[in-house]
Amino acid sequence: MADPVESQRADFFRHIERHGQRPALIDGNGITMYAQLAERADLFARQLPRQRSLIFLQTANSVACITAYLACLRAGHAVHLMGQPASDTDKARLAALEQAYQPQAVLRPYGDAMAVASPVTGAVTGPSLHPDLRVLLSTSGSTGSPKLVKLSETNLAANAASIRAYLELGPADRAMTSLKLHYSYGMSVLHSHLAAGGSLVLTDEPVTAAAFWHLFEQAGATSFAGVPYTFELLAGNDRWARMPGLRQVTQAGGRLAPDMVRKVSRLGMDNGWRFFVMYGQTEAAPRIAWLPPELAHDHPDCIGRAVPGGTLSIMDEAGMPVEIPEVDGQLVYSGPNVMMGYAASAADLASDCTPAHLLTGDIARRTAQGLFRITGRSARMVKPFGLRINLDEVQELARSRMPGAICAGTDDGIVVAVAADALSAQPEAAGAGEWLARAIGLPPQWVQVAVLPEIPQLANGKPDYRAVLKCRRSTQPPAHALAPLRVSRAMRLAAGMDTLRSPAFYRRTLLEAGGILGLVRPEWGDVRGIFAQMTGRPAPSGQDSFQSLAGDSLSFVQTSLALEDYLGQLPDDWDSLPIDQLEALRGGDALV
Amino acid sequence: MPLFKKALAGRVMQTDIALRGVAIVLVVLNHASITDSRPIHLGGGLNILLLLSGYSFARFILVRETMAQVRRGIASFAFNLWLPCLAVVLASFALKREWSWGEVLFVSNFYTADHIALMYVWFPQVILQMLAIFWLLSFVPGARQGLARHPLPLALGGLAISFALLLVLRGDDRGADFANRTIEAVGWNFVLGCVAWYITHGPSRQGMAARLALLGCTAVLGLVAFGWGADWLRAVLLPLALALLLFVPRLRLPAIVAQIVQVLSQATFTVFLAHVLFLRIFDAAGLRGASSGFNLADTLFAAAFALTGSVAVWVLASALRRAWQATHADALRRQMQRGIA
Repeated sequence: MADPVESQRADFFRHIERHGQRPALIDGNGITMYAQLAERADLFARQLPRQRSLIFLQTANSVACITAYLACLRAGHAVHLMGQPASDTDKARLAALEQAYQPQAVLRPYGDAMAVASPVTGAVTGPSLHPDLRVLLSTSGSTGSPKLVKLSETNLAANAASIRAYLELGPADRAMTSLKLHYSYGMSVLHSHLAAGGSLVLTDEPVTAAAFWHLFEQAGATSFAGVPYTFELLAGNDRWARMPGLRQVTQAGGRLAPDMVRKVSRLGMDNGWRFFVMYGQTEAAPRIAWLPPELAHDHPDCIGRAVPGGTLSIMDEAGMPVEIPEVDGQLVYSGPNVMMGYAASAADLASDCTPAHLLTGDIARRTAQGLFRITGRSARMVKPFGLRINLDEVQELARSRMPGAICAGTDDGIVVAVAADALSAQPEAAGAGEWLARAIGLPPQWVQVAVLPEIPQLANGKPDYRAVLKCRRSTQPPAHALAPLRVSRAMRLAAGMDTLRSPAFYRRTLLEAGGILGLVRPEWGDVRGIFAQMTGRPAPSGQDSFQSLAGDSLSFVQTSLALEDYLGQLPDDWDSLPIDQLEALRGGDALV
Repeated sequence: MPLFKKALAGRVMQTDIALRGVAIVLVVLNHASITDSRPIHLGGGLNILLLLSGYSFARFILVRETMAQVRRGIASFAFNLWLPCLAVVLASFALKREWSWGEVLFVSNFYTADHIALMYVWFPQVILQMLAIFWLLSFVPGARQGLARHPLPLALGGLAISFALLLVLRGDDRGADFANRTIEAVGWNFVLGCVAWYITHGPSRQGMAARLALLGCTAVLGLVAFGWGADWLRAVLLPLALALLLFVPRLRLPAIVAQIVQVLSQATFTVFLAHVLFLRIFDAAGLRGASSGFNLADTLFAAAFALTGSVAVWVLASALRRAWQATHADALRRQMQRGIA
């Protein structure tokens, strides 16, 4: 008879074949059943080192990537899930990370498949690994810090089981993969659905694209996961909320404004699906708390209660528990999903430093109803796009180019204030903003550099971050991110007539012709615009690449030349790189 | 920087892109010089384009994970190639008031070198037929796994088979022109492109010795296929283009040359579709000298005319398309704002 503890531990990867001919993964090519997935994973595992090893896995939302991930887990390896390096800076970081951790293999997407590559260090023996270590995740994925969160099989399985329980997931549930796998939130969606015998629909389309919802409907999806930015993008059009088959929507990755929580919750109630506001940290693999959908409307500013199996509490500055409601203190979590500690080098991979409880760094209070509400942060952290970014680290980075700069931010963007005399010229500020955004993995418009006569200070001499935040210019998401769901045929027709009547169209034609012939410098807006123009796809997502957009030999010459013109220089594998990564290459050499 | 210095300053281009530009110029020069008395056959441009098509085919389509994706890629590529070609074929029929099912179905190269279309229709025919073969091969059980695990040996096997077909099927009496336009005669150029991609990229990437061996084999195959007679240039150009692909991933060209090559390489497909029409216009307008024999100045003038005309068509079409996308998006945004208001 199977050991029930063991079967729970291994629930989401070791015994997935027990789900047999149920669908596990669905993509544009069809359905992969659980039995098939297990078989493919075991086949892939034969390409991996025989002895238990550390493996770096560069993720993509593809069957091949998930197969490779499961192969690593089933074969007993420890995996570091990471994004794909695009720029030379990223590659240098990866090399440094490999140097620090000595992985024995690096798995990276090659076309639509996964390639097994040797690490640059050529490591053969690899580091010593703690027997429980399974997954390593970056705490932020943003500043290239080699600090990684160590997660055990118990951490991952316990959290998957908790999520499965409170979301009441079962074999009929089918989630859209709207998040990247190397984000802990994206990873947890995968784990919890595999644990429940449910399925995932794989796509890189953004939630704002009509194609995303078309696939949602076609594939029979029942849920999707979003970070706050997702709901901002969806705010202008509620058609998605009426999608047949939608059973639940989850939100995590940062604080969603209470008004928005109410609005989405109301949409859910009106259309028969449930909206789960959740809270977590990578250090908890990652889910910590959830707000029951029926409470979302009345308590939209709360993170809810601890996930099943875990405990939340408030701790005062002296480290004593706070039992009284409505009193602020640090939010503390304990449960079987709390990490094995951090790693900063290969030597740390052999140890288990599981803390007694997890200090979240967030200031919170318990309400009279027993729910928890975040009221501030003890550490200076922000979460744009669900990416956790430490403002102190960003500040440190900014100071390498702009001495004395201070950094403030919210989940909507980051502002770096620098004294005018610290920069030699104003244009340098814009360039520095782009450089900084690239370094921390954000779109350029999310990081602004404000050049001020002097750095604002409080009366006590400390930096005045509020004053810095006030320097932020308003930014708005690019139109192509919002457009796809809203355009009627009549609008298109009217816009077409407007275009033909517009002198700007003919002036632009002349300009474009001049640009093609090299007589004037073409004005490319961004990589996304180039891809849209050259491949004919109106709204490619940041994760799309030339290959994923079905680019071919007829369109690649124009695309590559336009990119070369825009970026200055193209890496050899540009055709397989996502748009966001290509965008990050912009202007890199010019600033060095 | 003074203008001439700027024009001569070096600029780096991807070799396969530069080769396209050079190849299409050769194609136009060849077709502009077709007379019985020409001192040299300038053939070889389309063979290079076949090589580059195979190279891109392996790069963009054969790398896809599943055979369903590969088939979709093949279908999309074939459609994008087929539709403009069909438009030219049908327009040619309308102009000439003639009809050929063989050209409409893109199979006439199986039985004739003649064509009604105002373009050398055998080239898209060969590519479409190659795509059809690859599409059929995609149904072979285990093809995906085989291609994922052993792409280079499979591509080399394909090259051997396609060249063997040439040896087996050649030697009929349908004329040299015909013999150079059939899939069995030039299909191996396309497969060679696939081999070139696999040998220089990805997990199957090989070192200098393997690349030199492939180049040597290609030189021999070129001599066997094209001979050292009137078509000796093909036998030279194909290995030369391959050598550049294998050993020189990027080329440094003077900026002015790079700019011209860049425009030509982008316009390659349009130039291929339209240059014959411009050559006919050139002849119909009496711009060629009275002599019926070969005249170098006339040839260069005709080629320049055809290239300029075809490139102008492409520039205009591209500029209109880009301007439409840019201004139409703004107009659409205004309409949406009105709608929201």
